[in-house]
Amino acid sequence: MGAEDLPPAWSPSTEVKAHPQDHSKSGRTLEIFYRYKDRDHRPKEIAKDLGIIYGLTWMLYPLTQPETVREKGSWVRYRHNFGQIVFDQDEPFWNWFVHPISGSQLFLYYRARGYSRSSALGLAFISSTLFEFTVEIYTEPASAQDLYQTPILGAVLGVGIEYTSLALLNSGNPLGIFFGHLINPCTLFPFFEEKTFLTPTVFQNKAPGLIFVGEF
Amino acid sequence: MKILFLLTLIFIIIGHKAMADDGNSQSWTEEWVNRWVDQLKYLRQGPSVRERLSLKAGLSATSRVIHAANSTEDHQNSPGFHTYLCFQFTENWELALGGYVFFGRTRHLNFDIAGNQVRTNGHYRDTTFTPTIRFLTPLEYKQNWNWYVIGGPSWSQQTVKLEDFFDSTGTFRHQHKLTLLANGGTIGFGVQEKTPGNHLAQKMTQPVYIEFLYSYMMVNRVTLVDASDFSEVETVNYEDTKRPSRSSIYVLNFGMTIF
Repeated sequence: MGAEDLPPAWSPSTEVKAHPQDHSKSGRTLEIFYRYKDRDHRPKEIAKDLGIIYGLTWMLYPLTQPETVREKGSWVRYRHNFGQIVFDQDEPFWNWFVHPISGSQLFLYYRARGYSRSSALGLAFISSTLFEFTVEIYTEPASAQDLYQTPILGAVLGVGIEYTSLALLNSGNPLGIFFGHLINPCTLFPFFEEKTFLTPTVFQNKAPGLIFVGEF
Repeated sequence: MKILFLLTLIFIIIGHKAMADDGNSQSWTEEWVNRWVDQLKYLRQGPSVRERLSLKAGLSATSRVIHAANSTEDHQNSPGFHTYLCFQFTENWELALGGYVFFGRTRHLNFDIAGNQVRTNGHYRDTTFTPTIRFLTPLEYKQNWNWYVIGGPSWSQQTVKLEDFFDSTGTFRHQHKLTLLANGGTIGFGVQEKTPGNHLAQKMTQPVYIEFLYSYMMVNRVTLVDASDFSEVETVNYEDTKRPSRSSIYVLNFGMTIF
């Protein structure tokens, strides 16, 4: 008889929330383990993910840079900037810090949705290109540095964040888990596909065990 | 420059010859045509686009000579980093979009802009983009380390901060910076680790590479920028240069395939 055939001799009290999506109980699950697993996506899913990010960029750009949008933005400028590409004069803070961080979070969003690293890079490239050529041109022309550095440096940074956040999140240390979520916020959302919920148990033959619950 | 072009050409010819001489009983032309047909088949039926796409990154060291206005020049050694977004076209040919970033410090360079001449020392940054084509030769430096040649056109923006400067009209301020738009080309060669397995396996085992590049860049526009508000810089003036300043840049790159 395998361990899977044994009914658990002990399982968490019904008071304990065993699944984070169980909204009938308050509190937290016992343990959550995080990992990334690549899968294939249907064209409809890809279009949906790209659409969500594109819609978010339209919402977030005026919210994050209200003064720039108010003072410099206009539809006349939008028409003038359409299709143009220039080297911007921005300070390194923007080009080598803000844009790569934005790119890394884009990359990690697509990773959280189950795309491979190459696909996540490709989709981050498409998303940032759409933003540069159809959103940001409301205030300024598309920038060569942003077009390249946002997805590329973002992916390099994203891979580093991916490794670090997984180590922190699976460390079991509350501080580690906090920083893991802080550097990789996509792990907090329901769209993160590879959470495994782990519950300790003891089987009837007194063998200790663990119950894994995963979503597919 | 000419020597590097010649070296590149020699590498490609030797590479093609070496591949053609590899146990053939056919003529060189037949072998050459067959190889191209094989490569086209690989393009159509080989790995998926996702598998062909790869990202490489690493550190760089440069040595450059900048020739500016009034025959002033500066020799500068500076560190930096680089990235390549690569697409494997065939087994030997790869298209890549390269990005190089270098940091340094200039001394005693003159620039002319809108009738004003400025002589400055200051921090220097260079962002260069180079769409490249790379040919991986069958020639081995040692076992599982193959030589390759690489080259392509380059566009760059170099920025000089005005920190310790003198300008002829006295209108420049410390918050100003000069940006130099330049274009040119990059060629070079390198050696890359060839790990066992198919393309995807090779990519996932993260092979490393080291390469030597030469870039020649000519500045065609000088812009004066007011960076007093770092969140919103303003262009003060610009001038399209008739007698452009130029840079010769020697780059040593070493890095690895990230994925």
